[in-house]
Amino acid sequence: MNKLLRMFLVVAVLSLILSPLMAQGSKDVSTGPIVIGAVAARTGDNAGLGEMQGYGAQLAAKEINAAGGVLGRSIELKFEDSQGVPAQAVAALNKLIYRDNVVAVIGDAQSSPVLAMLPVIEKAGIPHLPHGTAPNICEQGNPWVFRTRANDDVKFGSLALFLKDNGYSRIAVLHDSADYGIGGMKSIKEALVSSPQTVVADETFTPGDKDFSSQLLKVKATNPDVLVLIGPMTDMGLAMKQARQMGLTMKFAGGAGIEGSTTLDAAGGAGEGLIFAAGFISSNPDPQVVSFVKSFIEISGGKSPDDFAATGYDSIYMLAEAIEKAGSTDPKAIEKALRENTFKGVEGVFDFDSTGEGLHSMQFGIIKDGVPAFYN
Amino acid sequence: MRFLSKLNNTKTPFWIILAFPFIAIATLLVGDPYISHILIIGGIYGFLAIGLNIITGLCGQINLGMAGFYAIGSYSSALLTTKLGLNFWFAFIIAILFAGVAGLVIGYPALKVRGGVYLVLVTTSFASIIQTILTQWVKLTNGPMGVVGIGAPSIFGIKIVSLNQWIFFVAFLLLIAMILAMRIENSRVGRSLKAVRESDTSAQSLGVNISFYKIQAFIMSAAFGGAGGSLYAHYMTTISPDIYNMNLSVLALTMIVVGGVGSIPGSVLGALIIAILPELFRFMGIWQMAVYSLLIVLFTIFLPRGLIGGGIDSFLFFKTKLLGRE
Amino acid sequence: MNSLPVIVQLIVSGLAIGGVYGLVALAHSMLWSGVRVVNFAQGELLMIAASVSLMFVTGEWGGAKLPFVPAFIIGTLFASLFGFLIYILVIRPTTKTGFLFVIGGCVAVQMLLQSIAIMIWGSTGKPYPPIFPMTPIVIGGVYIVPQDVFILAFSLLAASFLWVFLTRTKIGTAMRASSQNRSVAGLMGINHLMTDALTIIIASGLAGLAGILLAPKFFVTPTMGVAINSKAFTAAVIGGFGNIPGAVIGGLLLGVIENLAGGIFTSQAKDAVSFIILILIIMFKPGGLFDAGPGRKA
Repeated sequence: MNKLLRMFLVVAVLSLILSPLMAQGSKDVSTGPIVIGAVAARTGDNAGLGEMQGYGAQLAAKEINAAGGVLGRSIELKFEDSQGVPAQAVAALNKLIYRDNVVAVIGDAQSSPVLAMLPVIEKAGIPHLPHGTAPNICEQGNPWVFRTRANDDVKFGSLALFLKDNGYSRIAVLHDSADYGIGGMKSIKEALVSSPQTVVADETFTPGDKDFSSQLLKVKATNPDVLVLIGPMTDMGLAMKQARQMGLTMKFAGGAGIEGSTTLDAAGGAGEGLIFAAGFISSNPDPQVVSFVKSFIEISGGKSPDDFAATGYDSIYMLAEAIEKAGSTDPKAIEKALRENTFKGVEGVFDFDSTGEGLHSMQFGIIKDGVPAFYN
Repeated sequence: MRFLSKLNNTKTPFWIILAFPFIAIATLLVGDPYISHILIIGGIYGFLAIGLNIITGLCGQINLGMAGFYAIGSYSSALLTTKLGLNFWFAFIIAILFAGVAGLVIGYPALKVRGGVYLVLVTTSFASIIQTILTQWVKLTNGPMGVVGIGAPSIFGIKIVSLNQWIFFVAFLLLIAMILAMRIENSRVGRSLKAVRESDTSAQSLGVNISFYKIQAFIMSAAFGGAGGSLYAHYMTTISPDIYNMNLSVLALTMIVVGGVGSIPGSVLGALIIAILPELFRFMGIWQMAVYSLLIVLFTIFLPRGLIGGGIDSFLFFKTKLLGRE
Repeated sequence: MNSLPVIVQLIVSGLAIGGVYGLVALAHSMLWSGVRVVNFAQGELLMIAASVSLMFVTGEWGGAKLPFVPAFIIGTLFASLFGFLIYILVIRPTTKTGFLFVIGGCVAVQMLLQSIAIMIWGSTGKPYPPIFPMTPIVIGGVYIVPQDVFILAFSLLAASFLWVFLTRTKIGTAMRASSQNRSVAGLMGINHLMTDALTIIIASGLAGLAGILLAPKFFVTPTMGVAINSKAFTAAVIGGFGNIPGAVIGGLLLGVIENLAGGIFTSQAKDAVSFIILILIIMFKPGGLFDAGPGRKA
């Protein structure tokens, strides 16, 4: 029995290995639904990012299809899990391109997998809308990249300047030690290069670390009037909570993502008065945003949308509009349409320059009564 | 023919070894990038698995720090080619050497501890320290932003850029690695390693210098890991410290469990399977990783000798299965 | 900067998390001394207990909204259940094959439980309502959060109850006898299966309990147990793997030293500290702080 079982297993596994060799998807993309791929971490430590992106994209596709689709065809989304690992992101991307025949891909949400995806995109020649914010994503000379979020320089650089211009002259920064935090800190320092003494504290933490007491005590000692937080959503919320518990009374500030419900929930009441720079502000009275927020809460089972959700939403809408304007799903035509037109999304107005950056300025908000509102 | 007979002392069915070039050629012919990428990654993982099998499978020392050797291999190779403009082959060799040194460094504390639990701690700490250094030493490694634009290797003037070229390249190097490892396994060194595995005390009483061989095993293991790391860096063209974490070391462990602990060809098989398995389950959407991990659990419980039973204690198995004798 | 209130503050916050490390480390040491196994998936037990009790506290599941204490008990019981299942289904079979396979199996179980948790509860995580107020009390310039005091007190209480149980009750003594010398204990009429089962249930329950204690302070996510478990493992080794009071002390020490290092030196030092202590212990006192002899063979 054991012998047979083993032989069976060997044959089964070998044929499973070889069977994908047989299964080749059809290459015809001119009829039927328009397939768009979405890559993000859906399991593992950063699975929350993929979840929000997924809901946003789903909502957009649902609304577009209900309104008649694009060029008379419906939009079909294919979600793949990269687990935040570059090699997996590439595998997911390959599957989307060569098996599902997608016309474009959105994601990954993190910069490290995105950088690994870029060479594949360049070879395949289809539009790519990444959600990672590291500035070097658009510095690789890849003509297919269209970033549908503000990169870290824009986000944190403008936040730093905004704070300084609004009277905050002692800025402390608590950031994670991953590319997000380090890159963000760099952007802040560069923006404030003319008055370096404004930055009074620079404390780091490992992403996923949940106890910030030692860092916060150091920050407290420098007597800042605002604390900028850069890191994963949950961690930032906890940091705010702990800061208040340790008697730190200064205001908090951060970039897009920090104003989302995950962070505010983790912060308890400490998120009140948080200043943030974002493209997307959920209490924006603009009817497009209002309708987005309302529908998102329905489709996500009660979660309010954050920056990742907004990016997922805007990406799909932009692709749909570009395809409509181009009149075809030919990659070159879509690429041309994306670059030559401007798009209004819930994150703001997108105008893609030659490097693929689309969002060049931020809006500023403040948390009032637990919800994001415009800063005034 | 004598060369070949020195390769395999019947621990693993010989046809398995021939299967790998076959798979590589088949993939080349099909030319589907989706499959090609997965097989290339699987092949690169093969280096990790072979390395781990040398220290854990042959020498019996549990090592959860392969990610550290892999990282050193990747970063050495990447930095030497991007910052110093070195030729790939020089960088490759140096990367292997650096990784080997790391193996030496981890070998000494590893000698001092007794017991699997402590070895786990020492090796994981080591890998974490490597990762932390790579993340913090921004001047050298560009920190979390990683290294981008790593160049392609070239062989006889031909640059290895396309997927087909990479398949050839990895398969070729992997075959050499496998043969090298198997020759080590069947040499006096290999036998000493296995003696250490079976029992520290009896090996000692037989006159085997345990410390010497354990360190050797760590160095060899690290060298293979470093080679894999270098290939990884040049294939992906971009690396960053976040991938060289505990998950990767554990992945290497699953590779040898699935392929067969103590079997070098089994390592490569295991690596390929681990690279392919998650892909097979992609269509399950949210169930993908749950099913994958469940399968691995089943493997550890029910198939400890690996899929083809080439693992430790397989001698009996081989006789019964392939030669039809009891 | 290094004034007394600051140092005290660092120590106080370090103690709270140290208490949790101590509880989980205790669970590890208990398992090792009693049953000679290591459950690498222990962190997931924390997560299960926290997530399940959260469901009952918020009333998500079939509308049954329970007060804190019953939810707490249910969460802990779930942790015990899963700990037991993991032992029977995975750890026991693989221990016979080899330690390597125990690790492989447990790590795969970790991934499995995390994936299932994501499927049930989503990946973004939820807040846990606190039992004690989270607003701090100020004593002499030091900010003390009642919830933290509760965590520390509860951890120490749980550890002392365990100690009393193991030393003063008949069952507890039987468990200790079984761990010290199985064959002789067997001859004395002690049932291994029962003592083993009890050890596992109690140890897993403790780990789950730690998770629930921690939940209001942090956040309930599918991966919440991973980092804590790894620190707790280090703490157990520091205190002497298998030594129960040692585990608690190791946990408290680790929590405090980490915090002090982070406060006095740089934040990077905080991470490095656990490695450094580990390496020092392994090199100079491999049996841990409270162990008399060399490290035990796995």
